[in-house]
Amino acid sequence: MHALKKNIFIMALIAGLATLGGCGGIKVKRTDAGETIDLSGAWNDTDSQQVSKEMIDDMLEQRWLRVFKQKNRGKAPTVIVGDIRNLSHEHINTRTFIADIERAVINSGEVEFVASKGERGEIREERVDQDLHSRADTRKAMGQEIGADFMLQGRINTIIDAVKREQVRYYQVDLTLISLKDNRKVWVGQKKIKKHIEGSGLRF
Amino acid sequence: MHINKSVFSGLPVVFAALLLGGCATYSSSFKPIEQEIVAHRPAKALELLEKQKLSGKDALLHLLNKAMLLRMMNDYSGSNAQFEMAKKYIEQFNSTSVTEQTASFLVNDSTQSFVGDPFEQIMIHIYAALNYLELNNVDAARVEALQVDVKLRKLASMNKNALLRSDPFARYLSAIIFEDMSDWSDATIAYRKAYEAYQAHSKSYSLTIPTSLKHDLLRMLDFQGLNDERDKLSKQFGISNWKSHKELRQQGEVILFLSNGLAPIKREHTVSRAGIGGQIHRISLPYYEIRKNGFSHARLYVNGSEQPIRTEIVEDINNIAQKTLAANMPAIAARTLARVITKHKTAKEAGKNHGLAGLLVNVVNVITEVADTRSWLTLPGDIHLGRLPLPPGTYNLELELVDHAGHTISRHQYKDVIVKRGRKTYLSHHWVSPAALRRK
Repeated sequence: MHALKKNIFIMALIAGLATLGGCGGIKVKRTDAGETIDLSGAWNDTDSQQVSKEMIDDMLEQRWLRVFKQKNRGKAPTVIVGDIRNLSHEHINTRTFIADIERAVINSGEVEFVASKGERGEIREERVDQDLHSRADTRKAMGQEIGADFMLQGRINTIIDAVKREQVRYYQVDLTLISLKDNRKVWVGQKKIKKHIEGSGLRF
Repeated sequence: MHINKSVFSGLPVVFAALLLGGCATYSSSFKPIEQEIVAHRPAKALELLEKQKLSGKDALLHLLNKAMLLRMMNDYSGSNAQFEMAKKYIEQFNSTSVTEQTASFLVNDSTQSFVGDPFEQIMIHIYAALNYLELNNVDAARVEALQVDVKLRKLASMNKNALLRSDPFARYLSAIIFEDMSDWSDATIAYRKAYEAYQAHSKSYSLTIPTSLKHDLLRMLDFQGLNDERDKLSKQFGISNWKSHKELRQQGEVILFLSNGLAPIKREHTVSRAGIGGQIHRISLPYYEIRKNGFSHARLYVNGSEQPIRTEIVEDINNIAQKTLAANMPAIAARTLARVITKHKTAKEAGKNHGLAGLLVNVVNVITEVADTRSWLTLPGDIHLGRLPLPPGTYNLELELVDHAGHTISRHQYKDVIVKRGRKTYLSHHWVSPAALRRK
């Protein structure tokens, strides 16, 4: 009986220690997507959203849009997002940046927007499929796509200056809107972000 | 008397715990994994690596070895996911830890978080870039080239030793990537920096500046109109004929990266002496054991043609590792000596109160004194490069690995290699021979 009590005591002690050890688990705090959280100083969601919104706002305020509308009896131009190249020091997910740009452009309502190269492939496949399997009155015909008037291209560049644990990161995002008819550049936008990052030389 | 008895009864437990935990060095625990690698079974090696489950202060070793094994299994994206985690780990743990510093002063150097030597940190970017090239993502490889530039500039601001502040192949590879992306001026600068780094390294160990680099540098200088520098180097190299930029642009180029064998392994050298007051003092220092690497060079043939190109060594990891350790040795030795003195004092203090306690502390001190033998063991001993300009088209290539006696030891076929005008096609291969298990 005595031995059993002792065993129970030891087990309780182990269980107690185990729970104590478990205190330092993962903590998750839900935050608003608009809140700026800088962890490592790398390009993050806030940069992507801010840059895309400000640049697209600028693009839609410029002269090219009014000129196009005057020439085409008020018709909104059709734009396609081409390649946005990452020439920076970081592996930036350009897909989320492109998605942010597309959202900003579409929501403005000022321009029409057509699906990109990759998306178009899937839609065309679907139309071929409809041709075979869908009811005639719901079938969508081929050859009705709208050709884009302009293509938006861009690049993300960085300059990094680092000494020991201190770093200055300078991001420059360039977007260019090119007329597909004659390769004319109708708008060039630029946005810069500068970050100063200081790493600690000591830890526990 | 009662106290003595309890100390004695606790003694075997303490011994057992220490023998289990502290004694084996890292490098000796890697043997089973290594045996699977030389048998060309990277999947099996990965299984063993996962079982070893290194974490905490040794987590980086796990990430780096896993990345290399995934590469050997042709899982290049998986490999890069590990490298990205490795970079984050280094960023987080590269600072000096107060508690680990204390432990390293009292116990041994292996109590510190392993963040790798500078050359190992640079190798992460090199292999990540090679993975991206293998995935045909030159943009992402360029990101690695830029990151390595930041790292090298940082190293240059922290070190005076030419060997520790430059890395020839990192520059050379960056230049190739820049040239492939038509960044001509960046490519020229990187080729020039590669040449300077080879020169700097040749002062520390015997090294031949790759002939292909000399041609690359002359070609870019010529194209950029840097005629004075071109003429000076042309004279210095004794090369008056090279494929011009225009000629090369009309063609494509196959670039072969060959990783040869396994990197040197750290072992410990231990000296134990009976010192003052009957105490035993032990000093353990690490040294590198070079492993026998499979081939001396390789030949690349096109569709059974007679004229192969011969690969050249572009990164001599064997020598870089040894010289890096030699440069760090004064600091390692000083720390070890300081530790022996501290350990001597603790044992002496314990012995003042009770003779047996003093003995016990001394035993613990001796057992825990092991050298830090942690290093990235799945790196190759050296890296070879071969450049083969070809007209655009589809080719079957044959690779022949040749040993030091001139015998062909292995052959590999590359079927349907596509060469595009003005672009580069990348091939890479890591070959480990069973001889890698033996020391040189």
